[in-house]
Amino acid sequence: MSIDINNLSIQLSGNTIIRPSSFSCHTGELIALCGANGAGKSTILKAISGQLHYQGSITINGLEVRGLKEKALALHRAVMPQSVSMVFPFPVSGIIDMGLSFCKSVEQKENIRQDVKTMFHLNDIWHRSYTELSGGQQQRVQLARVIAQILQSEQEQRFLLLDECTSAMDIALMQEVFNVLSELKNQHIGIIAIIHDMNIASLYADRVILLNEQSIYSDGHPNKVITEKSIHDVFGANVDLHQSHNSGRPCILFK
Amino acid sequence: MMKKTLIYSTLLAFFICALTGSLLVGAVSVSPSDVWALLAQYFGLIENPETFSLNQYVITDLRLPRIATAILVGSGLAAAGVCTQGLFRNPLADPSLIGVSSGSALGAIFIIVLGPSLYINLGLISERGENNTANIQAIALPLFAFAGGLLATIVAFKIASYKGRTDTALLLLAGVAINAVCGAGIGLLSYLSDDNQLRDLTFWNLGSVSKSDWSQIMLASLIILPSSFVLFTFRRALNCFLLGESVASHIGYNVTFIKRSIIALTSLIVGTAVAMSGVIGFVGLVVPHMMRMLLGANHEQLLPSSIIFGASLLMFADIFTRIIVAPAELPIGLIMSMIGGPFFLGLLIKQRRSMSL
Repeated sequence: MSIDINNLSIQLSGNTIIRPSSFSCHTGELIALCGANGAGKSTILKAISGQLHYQGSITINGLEVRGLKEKALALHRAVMPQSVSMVFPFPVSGIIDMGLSFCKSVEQKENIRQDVKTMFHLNDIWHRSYTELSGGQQQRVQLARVIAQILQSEQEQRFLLLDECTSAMDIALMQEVFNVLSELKNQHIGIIAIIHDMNIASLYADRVILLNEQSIYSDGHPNKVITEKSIHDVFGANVDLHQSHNSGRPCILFK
Repeated sequence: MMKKTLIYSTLLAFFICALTGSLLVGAVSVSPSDVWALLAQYFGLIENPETFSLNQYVITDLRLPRIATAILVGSGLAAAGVCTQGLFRNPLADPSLIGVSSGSALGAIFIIVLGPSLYINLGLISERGENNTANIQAIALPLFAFAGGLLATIVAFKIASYKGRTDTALLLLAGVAINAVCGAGIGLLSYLSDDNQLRDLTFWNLGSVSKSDWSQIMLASLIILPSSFVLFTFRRALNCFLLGESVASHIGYNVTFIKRSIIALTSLIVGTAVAMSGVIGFVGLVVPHMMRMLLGANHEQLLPSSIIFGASLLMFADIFTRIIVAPAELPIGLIMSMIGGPFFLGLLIKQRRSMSL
């Protein structure tokens, strides 16, 4: 089972935002969606999450996204948007509970709460108000909420859709989060993540999809997709490419 | 847990104090033992001596109905305030500030002034059917108040919402505009009204909990209580709305249905409250804000606590109306504005840094 995108095209107010594109994401796979600003990464993620009207087809576990109700969709995928703001003071534990809105039992709910609390080291901030946290901490809490949502689902194949989920985090937190995501892949979870840092994408993604001018420029293993030419073509940046000693993956340095 | 128990105990004690005070305090002083005996008679616990006394009239015909009205209106407006603020993600979204109350008042005043001639033109009553007019009016009044409130909420919501977010400045400006339009409508209707109607209109603008009889109270409780209960079932969804409509939808809630239901139910509550007691502002602003300071923003706590505190606050405000210029009475809307106005100013000053005002 997978997310299958066939001939997806999106138009907003008469403008073409995404030209016909196709790709799939299987469980156990982390796909990095990369590209310059305005390439259409967030638009694709919004369409997969069921927020936008689209032409073509997007199916999750064989079900067409546009035909699914919110609750049904929520059991197949969880979404972390680019930014989430909160006006009222709300404890971190309460934010996690929001992700567990459709949990079947109290026991399961408590288990998942403890799991994400440990996973993201939320012990110290568990009772603190979300509005008092730093941007990086808030992002960590939101990610924990999203993962709690997907863990409550009894679907065997589940997906995470993450839009720049570590943009406000320091490098240590970022590393920790991607290690957690890599572990989650083993629990029949597929991940599509928009990632701006090409080195992170190269190191952690099983596949990189590079978007350029509203369509897919290339799609494949990081070693194949991340090249000096592709970075120049897509971002217009001149970079040196090295190979990481540990992972064998490409590593980018500015020229 | 201890803290919550303590807060709820205090709230209940406050409610009981307000209830007792409302029974005892007023232009006519009735001793607690007499009140107890009269209540026991009224509810059939002891035999009725079948002699009519002034105290009996004061307690059962004057004070009990206004207590019931204060409880219904106070709890209803507080629940409506909590849900409007949760839905708009905005602590300033009080039904009276964003124009819902004045929309309801316009609806109510429209039917007070033009209702009788409208019923004759529609053939619902004959020209001398005064009793029939009162019967139709009893149903038409809450209905038109509801319609006015609903229309005002939808307009405020449409103007202030953009891409799932609600802009504070736009929301308040929409409220100013709606209040101005409704004010003009109310002014025009006042101009068209006769002396009797004008007296009624003054009551609408200043608010009072002393005008309802038991049949109105029964009708209002049939609307406000179930509506508040349904709003309570949306408590978890409202929590998720605090993260934005798109996040609530991602979590699995049918955002459109919930949003429409909350708008309809809050309008229904505000409309009924306005039909019963005129415009009483700031309950929906002051009460949720104070409860949020005590218990946090979780609607599982915020809704029930605001309902209890809203009822108590309005009962206390009603006691003040009776004693400040006794034996005369001040309108309760005036008291609430005297409390709510400075509170609103304080809130604005506190929030001005964090909000785009």
